[in-house]
Amino acid sequence: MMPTISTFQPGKRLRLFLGESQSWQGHPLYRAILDAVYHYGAVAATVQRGIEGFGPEQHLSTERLGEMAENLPVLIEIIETEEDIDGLLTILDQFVQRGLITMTPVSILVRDNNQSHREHHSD
Amino acid sequence: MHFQHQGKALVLSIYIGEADQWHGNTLYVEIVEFLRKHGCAGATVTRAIAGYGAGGRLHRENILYLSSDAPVMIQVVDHPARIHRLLPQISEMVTSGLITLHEAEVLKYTHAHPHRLARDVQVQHIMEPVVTTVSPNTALTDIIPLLLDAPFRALPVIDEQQHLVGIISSGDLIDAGILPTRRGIINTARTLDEQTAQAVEQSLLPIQQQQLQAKDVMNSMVRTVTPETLIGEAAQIMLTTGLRRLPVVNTEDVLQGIVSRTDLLQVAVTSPLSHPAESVSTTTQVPAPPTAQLAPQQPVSHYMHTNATTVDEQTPLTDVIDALLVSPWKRVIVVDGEYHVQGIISDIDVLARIQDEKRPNVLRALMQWARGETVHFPIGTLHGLEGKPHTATDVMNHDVLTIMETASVQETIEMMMASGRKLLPVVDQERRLAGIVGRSDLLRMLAEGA
Repeated sequence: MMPTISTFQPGKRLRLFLGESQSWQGHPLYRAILDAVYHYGAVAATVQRGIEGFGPEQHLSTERLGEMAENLPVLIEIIETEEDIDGLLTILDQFVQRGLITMTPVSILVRDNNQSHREHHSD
Repeated sequence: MHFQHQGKALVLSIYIGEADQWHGNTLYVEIVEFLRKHGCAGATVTRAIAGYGAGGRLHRENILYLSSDAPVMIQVVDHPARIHRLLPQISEMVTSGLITLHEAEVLKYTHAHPHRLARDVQVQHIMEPVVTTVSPNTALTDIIPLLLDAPFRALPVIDEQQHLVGIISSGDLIDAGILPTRRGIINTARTLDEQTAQAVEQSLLPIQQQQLQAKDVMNSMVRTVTPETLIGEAAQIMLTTGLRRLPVVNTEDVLQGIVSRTDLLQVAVTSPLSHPAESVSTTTQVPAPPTAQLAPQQPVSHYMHTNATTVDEQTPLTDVIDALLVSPWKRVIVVDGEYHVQGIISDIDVLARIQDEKRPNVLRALMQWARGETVHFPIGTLHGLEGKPHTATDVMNHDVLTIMETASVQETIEMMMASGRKLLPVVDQERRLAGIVGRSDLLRMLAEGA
């Protein structure tokens, strides 16, 4: 069997530090962002719920205490290629009014047998 | 609309176990509490489902025993200076874990304004450890270069047992008639044309002839604080004494560090950004619209002074200097007919922006001023090439940063700290000058606990 040929593509990792109770048009903000990012065709996105934290969105929240667990931190990590990052940022700008967004350069491993789901959404 | 590139910040990642302890409490909880108490911009804790770290111990969620030692990761995005300041204590807490640092671009950051400032922080957590000290017998000729070239403004004098016996500041040396003028003027003059640089060196020559030592010029009535002094108290002492830095000594009078006004104000800064878009000429910081979740914060207009000294662009330089000499701010603000801020003028601006050949005269006048003498300019000094009098426009600094009167004290401190300015003109909605605010005014908030 032929080994898969891999190359690296320059990209960015975005981290969005939000709060779980932030909403967008009646839906949880993180869901709205995840949908938008998926439809845009970004390489990857994961959403993690934090167990404790503070920051732009909350003074202190923790899962340890019931009354302080209403707005736990939500961390969305998105990977996108260098060439498509600008369009993605324009979209994100519509969603995120408050919070923290950081961006770090990364190299994305591209396998040539791996089809980007971007093609499925090119309609 | 698009995100602005807001700046760079440092990302601190701490990898520990959920069950790790610190002084009988859960470690990650203690770390978050520590970060919060020290004014960090934010921290996010996430739990992984399995992993191992620097301790080599395999962490996993243990459903059988209803206890979990899963790996937890704490992420902190903050100003590099604050992270480096807190790092020693954090690494002391993280005895078996991993800590990494990397730089990240910040695309967006909105403030979480604290309800109140952390006034109960002790000065030992924010002070600068002292690296340069002199002994009572150090020669004055060795002290002057230290005071002029070093980033610090005051030099502690300690004896052989490390006891603090005095302090030497450039201000005291001016009052004693030893230094001819303030440090900023001397250092600026040195970078200007050859004649001016020579003139300032010449004014420093008499110091060489004096056989003075540290003990002859030091101030031995030093107001000190202890490492446990709370920052609110230190701010109060600075306001009542007018001092900008206080040596920190322990119960044996051994010097531990120095806490400055800047260190105290830095406590109020929550922004993680190290290079905000600052110092663009005549930019005005427009505060974000307030949202219900933000803590109520007093606007800077509560703390500003309305007696800013102003001139217009065509004011003759002689009048500008007169205004400068009587201004309590040692600055005059240049405004147009509608009171819009056009520029700012300090003594350094006058010296640096006037024609080369006139600088030695201006320098001499500034030294007379420092000595409290009547300032005298030789005829023609303040006239331009064609004999036309110089005006405010010729010497003003266009790069003036202003703040909106509706901005919070918090935002004002952040702007001041990020830009290094000591004074900010305050403007109204139409960008007309409304007042002026200095660092001491903002220190008042810390002392009063607004």
